[in-house]
Amino acid sequence: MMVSAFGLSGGSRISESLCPADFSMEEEKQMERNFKGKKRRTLSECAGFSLQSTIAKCADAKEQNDVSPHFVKSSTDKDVKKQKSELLPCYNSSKSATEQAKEISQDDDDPKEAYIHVRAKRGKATNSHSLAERVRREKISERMRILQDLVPGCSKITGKAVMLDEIINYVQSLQQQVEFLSMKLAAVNPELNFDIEQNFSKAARVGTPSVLGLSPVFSTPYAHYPGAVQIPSEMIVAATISQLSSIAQIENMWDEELQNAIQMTLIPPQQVNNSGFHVKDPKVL
Amino acid sequence: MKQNKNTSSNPNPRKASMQTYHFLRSLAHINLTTPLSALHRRSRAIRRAAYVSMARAASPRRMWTRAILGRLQLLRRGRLLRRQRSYKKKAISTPHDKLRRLVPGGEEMDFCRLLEETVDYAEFLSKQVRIMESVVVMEAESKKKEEKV
Repeated sequence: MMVSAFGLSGGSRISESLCPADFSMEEEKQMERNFKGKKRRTLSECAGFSLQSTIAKCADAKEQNDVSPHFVKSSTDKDVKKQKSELLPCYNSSKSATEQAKEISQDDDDPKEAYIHVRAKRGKATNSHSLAERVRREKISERMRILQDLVPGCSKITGKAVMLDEIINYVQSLQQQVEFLSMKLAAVNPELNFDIEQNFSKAARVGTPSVLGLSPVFSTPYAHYPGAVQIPSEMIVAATISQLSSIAQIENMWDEELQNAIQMTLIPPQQVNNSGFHVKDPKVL
Repeated sequence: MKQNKNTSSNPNPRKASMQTYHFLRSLAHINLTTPLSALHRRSRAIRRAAYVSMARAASPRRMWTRAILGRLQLLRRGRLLRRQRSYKKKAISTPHDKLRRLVPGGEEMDFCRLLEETVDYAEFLSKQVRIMESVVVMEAESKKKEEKV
């Protein structure tokens, strides 16, 4: 009887007006939060919650004077599904219920539009805590998906733990590559003919696919990483050969630039104490 | 290490190549200042240059860029307290901790944010690796050419 008496739009308001005195402070805050606060819930759940509480309270009020908040609270989470099934004939589907909820929210004239509005799904808990947890979990899974696309060879992996391990391995291998390459670069060249032009064109051309294992020298440290993609070095060589015509001009330009730069920056090179640095520690520069 | 000021104009101002430009400039500077004999110091400086050019090219809103550039500042002033940090290193309790230690500035972020930063960091890191590889290849190529001629 109470179910049918409640209009769709004013359901919870009526419930509030019916038993205002019986509401404990907590529940009042919660009700307020339902309509004016950060998170919106489906009408079925709001009404379910409120109906449940009012039914319980009014029933109890007849028998006893004081209503224990514990009873109401415990009943909500456990019996909310039961209540929903009872409420089903009134509310056709969750979709229409959400529409009703939208109407309610618009009636309430919520000023706090900056918050992310989350709808609680059917059959799930409606605690604000669990909603926040759900939002957080969704964010995390979304980012894991992005990472899955980024890390090569991880399309088949499902599950956060394994994915996390893969990500850690990938970042570690990248940092090791940087170390190795920096040592190699340190040994290789005092030459000044830096072909910036070549590098720019190469960077523009190759784009996204990762270049691993260009030459036999590189293959050993990278081979341990399972998802390594090998791009034939002929492509890079071809790119460079096409640019070799402009080497001389760039050399002159670079020399001039360097001389200018050196003259302008008159700071003497600092003597940095590097002896104690552990090789594998990427945190320390 | 000190960076050259960007006094001269970039011949090809493209967004993707800021990283390359910074790295090459600092590399040239390292070639001038540090002699070949001090190999260890050179490799340290090159590695630092790689990370700094990564951080310079990326958006300064990222936590890891701020962490790297902050470290650079500390290094310049000679006040880097690495002893203190090594004592504070705890055993790896959660799988998240490993990732936190890998990504610079990842100690005080919640997991959600950490994943975001990892995506960005991994992107720039792979770009940097590509740049360094191409530099090595080009050096090898030019040396070959010299030997032939």
